[in-house]
Amino acid sequence: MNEATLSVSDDEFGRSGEDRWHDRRARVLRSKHRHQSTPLVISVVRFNKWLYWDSYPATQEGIDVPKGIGGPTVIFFEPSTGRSRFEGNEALRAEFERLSKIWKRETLASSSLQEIGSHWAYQRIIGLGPDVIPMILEHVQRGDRHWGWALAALTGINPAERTDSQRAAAEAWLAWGRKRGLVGGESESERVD
Amino acid sequence: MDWLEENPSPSEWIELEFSRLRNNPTYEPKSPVDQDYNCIAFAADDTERWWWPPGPFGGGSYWPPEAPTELTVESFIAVFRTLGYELCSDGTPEEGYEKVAIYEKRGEPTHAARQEPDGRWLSKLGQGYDIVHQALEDIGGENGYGDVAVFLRRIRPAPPGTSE
Repeated sequence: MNEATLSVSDDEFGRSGEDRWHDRRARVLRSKHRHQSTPLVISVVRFNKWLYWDSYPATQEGIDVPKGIGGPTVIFFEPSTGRSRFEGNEALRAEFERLSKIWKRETLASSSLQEIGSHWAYQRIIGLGPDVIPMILEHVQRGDRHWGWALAALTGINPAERTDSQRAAAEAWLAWGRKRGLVGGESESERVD
Repeated sequence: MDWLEENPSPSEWIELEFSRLRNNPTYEPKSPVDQDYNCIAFAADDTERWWWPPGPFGGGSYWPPEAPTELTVESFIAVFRTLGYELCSDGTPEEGYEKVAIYEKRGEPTHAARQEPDGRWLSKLGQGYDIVHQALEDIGGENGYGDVAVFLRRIRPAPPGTSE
């Protein structure tokens, strides 16, 4: 499975104009599979101007979807290019990076977890939905801290709950992300300088 | 980290955040930016963890189990009591004692600074730099960490590698 794929909840679906075609197809598939509790994988193959797709339960691929993202979930994957819909979402990335920069700048001097986690830009990032999870994990992998609350809010789980340091929390989230193919590379502790 | 690309100089960022340090030659950055520890951890001599009462999701921070988890000055006093500190009246340097000042703003604790033997104060500025500064007011005020709420002191520990 492609590393950049990610599950998308029903609520988050259909915001991006460039994915309108996918959304229409997804609605059909979701309706068809509405009694199914496991996520769906849609493999999209582009051939000239045509798109061909296939769908199957994600469990066949051994994909572990975060708790809290319930109901039929769609994962787009394009085997011919290795691209997922998230990689192409430049507008979302730009907004994420803009908000992230504001949040970091305006909370850098703060020690308060409550102040850092309740900053309006951080809350807006959570509001962008699960598509930003790989982007957050990229930042975590680069050494950024304090993303745990956002990740917990977005996924409904908290693999870092028992950690007592930002470094350990980052490692826990990166391990979670690597297990699901949401982030690649090595962790800070694995890196040999 | 991308926010540092916009603020290449420590003093540029420090003086932007803490206006009282602008054109004030008495402060000095002592470390690079480090997001792994904060002011409370630094005052407690821990540069590995982030000391703060836990948030809604838990994890990523440390708070002594003996201390209450409410975001109050009393909770912070309890933390420093676990390290052998007791309340004292002010921040005047006292021979043989190490002091800590806890700041508050709008009723909530915001910061802690630890006194150096020469009477200056050491502060970790959130996720940013450690600095040494002359006066506690240098990083206080409405645009800073507010005002000092309490002082605590303990017998200054012997430097590592020395014995009584």
